[in-house]
Amino acid sequence: MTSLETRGSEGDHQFDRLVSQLDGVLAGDSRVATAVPQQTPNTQPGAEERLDELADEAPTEQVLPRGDVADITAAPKWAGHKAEQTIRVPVSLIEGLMNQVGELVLARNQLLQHVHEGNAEAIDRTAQGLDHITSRLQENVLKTRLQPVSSVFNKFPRIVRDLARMSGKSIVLEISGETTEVDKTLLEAITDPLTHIIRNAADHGIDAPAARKAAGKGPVGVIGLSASHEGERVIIAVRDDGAGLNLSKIKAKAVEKGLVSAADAERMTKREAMNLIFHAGLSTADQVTNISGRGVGMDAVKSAIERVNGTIEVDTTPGRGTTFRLEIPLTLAIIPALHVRVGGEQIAIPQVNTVEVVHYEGEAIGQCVRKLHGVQIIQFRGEWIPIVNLTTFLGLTPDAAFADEMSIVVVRSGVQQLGLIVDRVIDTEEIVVKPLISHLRRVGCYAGTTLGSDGRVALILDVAGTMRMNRIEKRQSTQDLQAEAPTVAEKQALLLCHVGGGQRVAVPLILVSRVEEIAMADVQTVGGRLLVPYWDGLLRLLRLSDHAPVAPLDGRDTAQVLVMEFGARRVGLLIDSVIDAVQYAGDLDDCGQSGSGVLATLLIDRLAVLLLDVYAIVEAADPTFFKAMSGTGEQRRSEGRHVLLAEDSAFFRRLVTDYLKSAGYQVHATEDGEEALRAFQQGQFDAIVTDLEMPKMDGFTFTQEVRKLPHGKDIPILAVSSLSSDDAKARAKRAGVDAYRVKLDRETLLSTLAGLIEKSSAHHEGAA
Amino acid sequence: MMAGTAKSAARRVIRCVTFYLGDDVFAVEVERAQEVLTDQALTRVPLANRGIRGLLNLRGQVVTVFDLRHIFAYDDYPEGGDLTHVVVNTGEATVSLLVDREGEYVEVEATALQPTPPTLSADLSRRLQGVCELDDGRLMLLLDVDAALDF
Repeated sequence: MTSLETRGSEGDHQFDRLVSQLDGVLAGDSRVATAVPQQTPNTQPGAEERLDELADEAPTEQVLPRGDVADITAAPKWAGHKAEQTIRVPVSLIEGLMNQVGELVLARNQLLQHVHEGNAEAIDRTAQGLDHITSRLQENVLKTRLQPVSSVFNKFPRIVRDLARMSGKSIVLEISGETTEVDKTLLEAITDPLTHIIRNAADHGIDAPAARKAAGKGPVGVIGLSASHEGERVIIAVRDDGAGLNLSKIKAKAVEKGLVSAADAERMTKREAMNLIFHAGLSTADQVTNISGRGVGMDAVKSAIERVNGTIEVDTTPGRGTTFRLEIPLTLAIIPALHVRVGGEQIAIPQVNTVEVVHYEGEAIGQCVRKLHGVQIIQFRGEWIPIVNLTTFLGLTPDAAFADEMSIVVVRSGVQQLGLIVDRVIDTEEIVVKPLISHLRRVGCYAGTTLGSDGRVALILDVAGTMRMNRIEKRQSTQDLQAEAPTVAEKQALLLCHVGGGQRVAVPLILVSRVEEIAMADVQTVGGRLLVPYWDGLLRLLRLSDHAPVAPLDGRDTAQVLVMEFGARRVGLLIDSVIDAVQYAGDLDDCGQSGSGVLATLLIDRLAVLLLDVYAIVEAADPTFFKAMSGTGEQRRSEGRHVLLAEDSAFFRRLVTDYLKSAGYQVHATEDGEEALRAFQQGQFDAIVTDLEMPKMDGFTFTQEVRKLPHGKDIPILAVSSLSSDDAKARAKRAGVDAYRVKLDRETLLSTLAGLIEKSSAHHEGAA
Repeated sequence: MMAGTAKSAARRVIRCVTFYLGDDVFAVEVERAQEVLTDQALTRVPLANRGIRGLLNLRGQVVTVFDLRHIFAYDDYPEGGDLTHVVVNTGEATVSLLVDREGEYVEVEATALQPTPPTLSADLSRRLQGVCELDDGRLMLLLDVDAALDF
């Protein structure tokens, strides 16, 4: 205690460790009895000794064979490298901590005694006491980390004064709420972003004296900086009474930099235009002064705030000024979280991100969940929000027990909302956040880990990251969502599987209708074909090793089968096991050489993966498979129809051709708009399927050219693209495209094409 | 003390904790090793690199478990067998290396450590400090912990 009083401070890392020692106590009552004796001495030494021992690392329990104990338990090499940081803590707070630790020791002793006596009732009572002491201790240790924002705010008057002098403006800085307390690490995290915003306000925000006079404002510009608590969040606002953001200039700049198209910029709401300032590479100052604009943009500010789970919003009134509103959590160390269960795993979702839990059962599921552009959406408080199945997203095995019900946790990050389908919501609990190693931070959808009450590790979901990974982009209203549903445009959804010999293969996820586990004993060989009873019939199984360069499955009792449905026919591919559903973002054309049964070789997780050519494999096993597909109404119409395809990517040309052929069309494939136009002039076609982005002549021009031709006026044109922007859609429509679909979505592609052809021939018959 | 001369280098001893993947002997320096655990409940991490097996709770500390068999391109761990965790300190955190079983403590002369043979792939040999023949003639592969977990 004496040392604390004289120094008035204590090493920061000791408090960090103190917090982490407490975690052990918080992790669960069952662990308390073993955890506590390691952490507190049995005797009652001087206060400072106790604190020291509490802060010491728990001794390691198991000694390695013949190892040197001193070496094994030596401090890790990274410890102590950091410059000693200090923190000011009121002595009264430390004394309070001492008292609570004293109570903790007492409770521990009582607990040990009651356990020894086997007195269940007394154990229960003491455990309750422990619970009480622990929460107070937790609260107070956290308090030692809280610092008033004044420690950061205090440096701003000087910055503003310097900037005012350099730019020849008169500016006053009005500060309020500087006694608001925030966790020290958070305060450090927001110092730089906040400095940037203040600099911006003084440099760009506040208008020049002449402009102020012209606008009828006083000569002195005012920057207001305030901090306040709002529940478990801290709100920091920076407002200036300057000229406000010049939204048309921002939009023009964004168009110039290619961030948005001119048409999109035209239609933008005020909020969307304001949010453009958070885009990377957008500086609106006419000239970059030496004050701000030093390569740190508002995008960096935004990501710094989001890193600590905060949000930033901007609002502006032309001529009246701009306000930035930062919302950050009080602390990152202990947060309330919602525990959910998905595919057998327990995941924690930070409470600050959760809005509501919605539960559907039976028929209600089908009525509430709609599908738009391949994205599931639900109506939530008058708005359509996208929903994502967390089990599928994480590549976990769905739990059949939850097939008839659906729990959706509606989460938010900033103004974006997303519904997460989970198996079950367990409860809310205060959790101690533990950091992830860099390998796991890179995954992108985890914010940390925590220990559950059963002592098991649980992952904490990073809601903002999950939205990014699901391409849930910022949108403001229902109209926006309906206009542009998020898609997996450039990414291809693949199913990654193990086959024989530890080799890995991938198939397009949309081709797989289900995955089944079968016993090899059930497989019968009839006339060289492998068949297995499946539902009310037999399923033909294909051995991949017969048709693609993969090792055969060795002798085994069970295997997994990828069941694929083509029209009314089914076929199963035998694999070892499914690894994961992955989103492959790489270029498919540059993926090395393909061979028989293989479309491309991909690199996933640093391992080579063969992307299987499913159609080729099926055709190799049964050349008549696709031809012999029993004709549904749709296929009869497509029988013998000629389709002209324009697609520059070899991979997609092959894939779309295969889609069309499997549905019975005759396909003429071309590599760009020019070639397609020549083919169109020479041949007779019933429909055109075209990519939009192609070399030589793109799909827009190609469509326009076709529409100019006499026999091209009414031909159905379907655009397929990985572009999913409103602008591309609008341009395609203007060029004369009848419908617009995203590549790889075979089902909608085929049904849309069939619909177009039917409409077109009905029209012709009607006209004839 | 160690500076420069061949003589002092010759006396330098590397103290190792060994463990097995199949019949192959691997080792880490004893200074890096913290402890050995068996039979731990793991939490798997969906979407993570396959080199990461999961997470475990070591007295309130969350430890990431690396799948050493995957990293060194061995088949998966034998089914049903008890897996062993060698807990080591990296520059960043305390992590666990999942191995088949633990071996013994050995001391080898620094000079006995040879570069990895060129028959090993570049990706594997960059994860090793070298190989060393033990007294009984077996080869011991000394891990470069940081490189081994760098992916």
